[in-house]
Amino acid sequence: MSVYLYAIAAADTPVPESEGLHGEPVRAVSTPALVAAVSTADDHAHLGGDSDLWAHEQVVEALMSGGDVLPARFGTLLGDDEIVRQLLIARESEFLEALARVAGSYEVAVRAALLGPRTRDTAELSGGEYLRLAAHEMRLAKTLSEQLEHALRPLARASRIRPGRQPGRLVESAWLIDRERLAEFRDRAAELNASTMEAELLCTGPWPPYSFVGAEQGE
Amino acid sequence: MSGPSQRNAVASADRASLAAREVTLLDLLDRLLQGGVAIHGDITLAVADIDLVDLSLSVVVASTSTLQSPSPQPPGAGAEPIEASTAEARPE
Repeated sequence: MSVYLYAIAAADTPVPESEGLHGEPVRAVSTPALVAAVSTADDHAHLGGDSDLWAHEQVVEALMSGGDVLPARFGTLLGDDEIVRQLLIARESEFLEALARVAGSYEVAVRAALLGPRTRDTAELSGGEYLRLAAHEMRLAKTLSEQLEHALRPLARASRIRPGRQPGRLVESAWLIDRERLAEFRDRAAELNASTMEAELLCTGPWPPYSFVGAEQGE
Repeated sequence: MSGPSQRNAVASADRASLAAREVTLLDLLDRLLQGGVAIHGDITLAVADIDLVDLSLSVVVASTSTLQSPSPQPPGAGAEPIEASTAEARPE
């Protein structure tokens, strides 16, 4: 048996008494400074279905309702409770710094998608037509990224903006915002959406701060 | 059960569209598979069925343009049972 890790929080954060992945009860593994929300998992458990993703998310959100959290990447299995404890001790300062960075925040996702269905299958385009279409989408994505930055950055503590990775997905972005600014942020995003002609902005959240907790992601 | 995950549905119950829930699933996938604290060393990355995940991604992307109500909604607006929304967001 292994231990599935959902999230890490400050030691005084209540760990929800709920069911986690595959119906296993969620429990706490604690050190003086930190607590990890975990559940027991089969070594050969198959993960990846939608319900597994939501199970992970629900535990992280339940923990977040009682404090700040560092969500773990989906699919993190550790050998046993003692290994979890050692992890919390070995990386304690890093985790405490990351917790301070996301304290009192939510993550909100904003993506820009090309408005309307693509009129033509790109496979039917000539080389020149395809390149012109790609160049147009790149320009549009750049403009949208700048507009997002301009409109939303003043309301956010941090942001991650990157080009979309599939045709028609122009921009993907994540924003770390103070919890009390959630409504204001969404209103601003809706205003920007209303004034954007060629793309629509889709906003989801509030999420736990998944995009802002990696060591390489500190600002 | 009224887990806070339900707030992540984009559209309110009366305006909920399949596409809105799919966008939520897409954002969930992005976050869980690419974000979060990465633990190196002792871990086994136990994500199976990634092909299935990739498949649902492309299906989801194909349908985002049909979204009718992209405007963000206040928390609690998406009062849909998660099991129902995930089931419906899952491509056939």
